[in-house]
Amino acid sequence: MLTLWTRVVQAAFIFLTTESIVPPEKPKNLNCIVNEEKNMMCQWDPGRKTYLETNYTLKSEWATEKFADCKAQRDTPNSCTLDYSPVYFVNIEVWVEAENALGNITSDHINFDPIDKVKPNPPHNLSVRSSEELSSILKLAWINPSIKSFLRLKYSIQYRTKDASTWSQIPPEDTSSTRSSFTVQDLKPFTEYVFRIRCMKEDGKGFWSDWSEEASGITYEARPSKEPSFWYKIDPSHTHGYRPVKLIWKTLPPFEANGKILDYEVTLTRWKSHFQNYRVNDTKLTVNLTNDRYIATLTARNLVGRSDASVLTIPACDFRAAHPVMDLKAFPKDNKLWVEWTAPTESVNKYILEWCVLSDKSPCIPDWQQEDGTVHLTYLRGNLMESKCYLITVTPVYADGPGSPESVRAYLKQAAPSKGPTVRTKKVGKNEAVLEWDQLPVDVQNGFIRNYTILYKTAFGNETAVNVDSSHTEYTLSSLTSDTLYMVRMAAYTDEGGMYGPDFTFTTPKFAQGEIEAIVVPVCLAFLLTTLLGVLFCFNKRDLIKKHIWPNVPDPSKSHIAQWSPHTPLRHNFNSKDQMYSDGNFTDVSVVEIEVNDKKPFPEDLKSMDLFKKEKNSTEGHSSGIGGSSCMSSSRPSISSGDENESGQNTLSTVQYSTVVHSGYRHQVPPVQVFSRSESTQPLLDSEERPEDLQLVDNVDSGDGVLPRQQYFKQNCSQHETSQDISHFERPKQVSSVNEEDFVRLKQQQISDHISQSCGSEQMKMFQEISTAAVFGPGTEGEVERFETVEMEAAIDEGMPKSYLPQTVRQGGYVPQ
Amino acid sequence: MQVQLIRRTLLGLVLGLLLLSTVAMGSCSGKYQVLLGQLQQQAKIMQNTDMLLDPYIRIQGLDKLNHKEYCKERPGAFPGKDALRGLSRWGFLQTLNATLGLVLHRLAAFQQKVCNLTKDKDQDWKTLCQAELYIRGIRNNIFCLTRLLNLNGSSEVFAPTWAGPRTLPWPTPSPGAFNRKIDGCKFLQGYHRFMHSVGQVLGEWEEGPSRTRRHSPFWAPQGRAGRTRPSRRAKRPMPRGLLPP
Repeated sequence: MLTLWTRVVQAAFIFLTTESIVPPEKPKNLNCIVNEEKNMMCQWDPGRKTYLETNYTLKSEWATEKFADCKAQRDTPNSCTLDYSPVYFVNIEVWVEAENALGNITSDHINFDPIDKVKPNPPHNLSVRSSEELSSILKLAWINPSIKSFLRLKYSIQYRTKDASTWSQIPPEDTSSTRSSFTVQDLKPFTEYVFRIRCMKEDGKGFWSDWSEEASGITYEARPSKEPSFWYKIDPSHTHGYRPVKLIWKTLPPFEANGKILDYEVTLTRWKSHFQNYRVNDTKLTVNLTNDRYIATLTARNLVGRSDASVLTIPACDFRAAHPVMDLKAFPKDNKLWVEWTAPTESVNKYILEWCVLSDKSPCIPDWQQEDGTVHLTYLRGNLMESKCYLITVTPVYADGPGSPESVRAYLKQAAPSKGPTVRTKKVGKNEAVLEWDQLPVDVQNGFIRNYTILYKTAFGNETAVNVDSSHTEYTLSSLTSDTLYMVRMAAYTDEGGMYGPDFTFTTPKFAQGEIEAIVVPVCLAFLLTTLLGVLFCFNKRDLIKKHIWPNVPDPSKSHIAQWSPHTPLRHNFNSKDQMYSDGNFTDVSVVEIEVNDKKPFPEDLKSMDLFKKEKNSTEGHSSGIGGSSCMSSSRPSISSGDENESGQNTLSTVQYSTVVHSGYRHQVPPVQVFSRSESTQPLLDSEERPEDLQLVDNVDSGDGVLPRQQYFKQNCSQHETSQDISHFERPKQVSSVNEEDFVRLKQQQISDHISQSCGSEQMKMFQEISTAAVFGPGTEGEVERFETVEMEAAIDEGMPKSYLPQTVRQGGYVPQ
Repeated sequence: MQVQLIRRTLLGLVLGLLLLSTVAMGSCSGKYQVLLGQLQQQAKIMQNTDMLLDPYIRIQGLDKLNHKEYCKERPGAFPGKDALRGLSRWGFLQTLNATLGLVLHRLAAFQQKVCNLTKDKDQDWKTLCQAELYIRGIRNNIFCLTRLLNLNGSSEVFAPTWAGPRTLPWPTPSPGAFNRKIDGCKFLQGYHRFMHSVGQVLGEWEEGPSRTRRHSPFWAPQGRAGRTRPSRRAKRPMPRGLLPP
């Protein structure tokens, strides 16, 4: 009682603390199997897990007695094997009792005759024998299991060819009774078959036995059931009058050979009466045929007989093939490469299908097969590889010869390309880039290239994808940013995927092509146009400009100069020069020292004069207006004033200029020295009395010879010695009126002088600056003027004797010094 | 005569009630044809000497002799075919049950002797044990068929059984062990022949259980029918009826 209470308490505790601990469920699906010569085993479904130690007991009894209980093992609570062998033909009642701490329960009882639950042992010693009389049968024999003495059996017999994987079944009604042999019919000749057999109780109660061990046998040979596939190839490099023809054929498959093929017999018929027979063990035969039409026949022979003949027409040399198949297409299906076409309208004897792997690395080695003339859909029966491009050719064969072949490309199974396209730039613009790439080699395509994808991005931008049709080999990327690095990669896609090629980078330029030219050229043109317009404006308005810029110089021609030199011829003896001066153009008054030089002809001197006159017209008249040579030296005091304007104004109204016409320009000796005395009250410069102090700049002379001015400079450099016969004059303002060529000459000369006379640099420097100032216009006039003044002061400071130097002409007149 | 009829009626009533209690076990097939077929198959199995005689001969070492000459059935030891045909179904079943009980008895005695001699139970021994189990199975089916016949109200319950030899053919006192072996061999030979006859007779029982009996004459010893009911408690049903305990 105490034990009972303890158990109850334990069970209650377990039940309350653990949800999953439950009493056993009623066992279900109880069933038993009686393995022949072994004890009976029963199985059941124990139901949910109890998480308690649960005992399952298999109980069994007859009507007249009980048998010992069978307790299930703990690790297999769903089955139990009885200790005794079951007795057939006696009904037994079986049930299962499940028990644990929480209770017990009994399954439904089942009542059966053990013979109805028997699983016999399989038949053994299965043997197979062939029959020489019939090549389509095999005889099976076996030994039945011992249970055959207790019951009647039925059988299941299966067979297959040796290389097949699926079994064929002998009709059950043929093996529904107890037997120990059976003859299998309708087998293929010369074929090895494998058999197996099993048995069970005839009425279908119980279980099938296991399969017996397999046994095999070969049916006897029969005549080849079909003619071999037959085709030919003609070597294009045929010799004169003959053509080597290679006849090829396929070995018959075993199910058509029906035995071991001993040899093949080839017959060539040129004319109806001309035969050539060949017996060949190989599957090819090369013969030299004439250009005539031939009929070739082929038969295969085995131990039993000969196959039907395969006939092939080898047309004459001038035969023209025609009538190809139509709508040829190839497609993969069920791991086979199928070829389909539409038959020509003409009657076709057969079709020849040839195929080879397209590759850039290896030549196309064709394989072939033959199909009947009624076929328009077949698959290639070769060892095809995946991811390889096959070139498939279908040739219809007519009675008079082969028709035109048709080809198509196909893949057994496509894959992604093994390499991606290599993209490069063909042209890069500011905002666009033309990319180009090569078609992938067929060896790496692994399928039909359906499209390309171009991915491009900047260093920090998002990637942009562009799909391009597979027929293209270049593409233009537009809307790019200038002066930007772009990264491009490209993928080629087949139906099965894509593969990217190597990355490629390019940089867009900052300016588009011609953009710089488009900017610079118009600017230059505008500048030139502006300049030209300015020049034209200046040219057109030169009078106005002159009026505003140039000084209003009194016309010396309207002045009256008294003839004061008794040695001077009369004025009217001036001849043409007189006229020249009287025309009013001779606006400047210059002091010209005429240098006697017999070497220079007079006409040139006139030219110089004319040129000189022009120069004077075109420049601001800045000649000193102070004439006088050494011989013109006067004791009249010179007026020097630091106030230019004032002095200018004063002198303009009071000073008369003397004019000396220089006829010895450029080393030309004037015929006559003319001296005119001005009636001007302008005091003569001091330099006229001391010509050695004059600093003269000649902007004209650039001759190589030793010029008096050069001598002057030298002398001036020596400071104190002045030769009387060395003429010198000072015309600083006229320098500016000389053309640039002359100025360059002068500079050259100046440089040479500077080199040779370093001590004369001061004068040269002054000269340069003056000249430069003159050349660059009035804007620099003041500077020049100031510079001259400085020089003057410097000369004074150095203790040089004071002299009157020609002054810069200011607007409105000369400023005497 | 009237008193005899009353006694028979009472005895039949008591037997029927007892059989009703047995039906509650539910292990018997309720189909006559099934039970008949099972008995036929069992008889077929038991007529095969592989089940008893051959193992016995090998165990006893008689296989070296010309046992066919020595192991001839002793006449009258088992009912003949004709005798069996002449019995009613009930009588036939009683006779069969009694004969099988006799065989089991002899086998039990034999097994005790052999067990002492044969330490490792070889295949022949296993076959003998299996044969014993089969004989018990036959008796189980006899019980089931008898009950089925009684449930169907057959009057054959009271038909007479075979009144053959009332003495045990074995163990008949015979001089020497060899003779005892020969006696056992003859007994088993007779048993197989008997089972063959049983199979033939059962083969004639194709009609249903309520067919009119065409065999005659039958007589059954009064008061013996009640003893055909097997006891469910019995571990090994012992042959009853004609066989002495």
